[in-house]
Amino acid sequence: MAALHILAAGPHCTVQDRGRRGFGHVGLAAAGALDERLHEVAQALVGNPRDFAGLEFAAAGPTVTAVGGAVLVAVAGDGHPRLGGLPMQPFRSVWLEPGQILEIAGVSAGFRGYLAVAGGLAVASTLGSRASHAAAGLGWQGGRRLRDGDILEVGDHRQLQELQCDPLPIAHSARLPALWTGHANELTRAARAALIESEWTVSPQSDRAAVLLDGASLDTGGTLQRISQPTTFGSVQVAGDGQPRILLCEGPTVGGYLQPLVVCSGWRSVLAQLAPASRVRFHAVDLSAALAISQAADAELARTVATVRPAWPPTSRSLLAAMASAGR
Amino acid sequence: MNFDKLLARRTATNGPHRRFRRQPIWPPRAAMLQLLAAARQRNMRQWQLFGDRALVIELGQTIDPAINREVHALAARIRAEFAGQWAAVVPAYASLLVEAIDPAQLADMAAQLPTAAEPAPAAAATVHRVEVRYGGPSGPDLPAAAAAAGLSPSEFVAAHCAGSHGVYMLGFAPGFAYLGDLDPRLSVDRLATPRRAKAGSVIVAGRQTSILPADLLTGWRVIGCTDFTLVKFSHSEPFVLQPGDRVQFVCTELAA
Repeated sequence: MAALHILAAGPHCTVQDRGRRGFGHVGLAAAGALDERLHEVAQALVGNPRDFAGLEFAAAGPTVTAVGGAVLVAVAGDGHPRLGGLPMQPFRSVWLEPGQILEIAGVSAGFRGYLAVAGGLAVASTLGSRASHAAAGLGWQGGRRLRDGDILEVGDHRQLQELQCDPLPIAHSARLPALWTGHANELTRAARAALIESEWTVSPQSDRAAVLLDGASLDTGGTLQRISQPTTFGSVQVAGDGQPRILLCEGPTVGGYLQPLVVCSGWRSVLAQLAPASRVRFHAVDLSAALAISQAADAELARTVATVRPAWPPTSRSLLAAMASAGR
Repeated sequence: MNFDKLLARRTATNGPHRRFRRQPIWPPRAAMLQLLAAARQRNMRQWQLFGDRALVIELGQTIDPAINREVHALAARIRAEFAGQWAAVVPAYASLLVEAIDPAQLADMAAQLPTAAEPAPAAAATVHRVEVRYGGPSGPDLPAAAAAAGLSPSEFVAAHCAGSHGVYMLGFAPGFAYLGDLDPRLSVDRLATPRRAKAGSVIVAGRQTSILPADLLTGWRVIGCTDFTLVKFSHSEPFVLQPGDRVQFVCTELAA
């Protein structure tokens, strides 16, 4: 069975798929790929359904090689991937031969990227998903980050031909459209204004649970603690120190702090791509604007996935596969 | 997609409202507002938007067993009546979140969602016996917590073990059960800075107590430790404690 050998893991590399959904009532956040759009494109480029597992990396990517057979791989996101020392054409899959080295460097545009392999990573599935969730101890080897020397087995597949598609730009914006919630009424007018008008800096302590924001401390007037309430992906929680944080897909499912804003669901990829030290502002929108934003984001993803086609020029392995299938 | 450009187009500087009146986009804003207004009129209790995918209803602001039973009954009713439309139904102490699979259906759901439910008749609750080693290295915060409550450690432990505690909800981390009926005398503040505690830690904060299902950061005070298993991922019913169950703590050891 072919496998992926991780020669250098990089700082934040984990196994992710689309996450375990619908377990919020037992305290389990979904986890899964934070930038679902890039994950889905990477999976499409190796002929997988979108719920197959691949690798998510942040800040810098891994260096990998194939063992036990060639592996069809694709990288989505920044990171300047190089295959055998040569720059890899973006938004296409390519056969990684045993011993050949795929190197992904630092991510300069955005923050997160995805590596997909045809057949998916064949790690054990728990509660219907292979996603790593470190705090819950779920996923491959307790949901831990990858380390140098790890070997991940690759599932069976029939995809032999390399594929390419139109590029999908990294989701980027310095403005975060968000909807006010009922909790906002418990903030003072000044605190609401400060939340919307201030510029916030993404803290380097941010992780897959939350984007922590540094900036003006909100004067919350001591109304912060309430009995614990449900949270959602994109909730802006204002903690006791007056610093807001945006909850992501591995955060707590309930919390006792006020959540006066929720970032639009169409902007989840933007949240996933916020690099430490980048500056953001919130921007209050209403429901119809938020729905229009998420529809536009979905439509762009669907358009990109629809452009997946055989890659040109193919490597010799891919060319032979194409000729064999044409001859049948 | 240029996200900045999209945002500028959707929220022009002269305000979103005028912009949308001139150039209606789908779904029609007027229809959506009408549906939401109708939903509000029909119900004293209101669904509130919580982002563009979810609704939240608050049945109260306190930790109250009757309110909490209604929250769970309402959650069960919504799961059954709206099967195929929700992505998540998350009950908490006195509030409930419903996330729609398709955000475009959110307004329709808001108009139809029930905001009240008849709590199931109180059946005999499952009581889980949890054996705890209190104090010492198992419960480093016990002396401080007891002192803050004005009790001796043994009085504190006796009160913690007296009577059973109801499971109000699961949340925070997988299998973490909020037990809400702690003796008011045992109410202590959270630590100023959360710190890491190991799986099985028995913890208290305010009128709540719980058991950590995994090694986690917590601001609650660690008063003991148990070997009770909260989560069995290999089982078909992985979460041992369920809302409505009760937990009886039993002291097997009290280190000075």
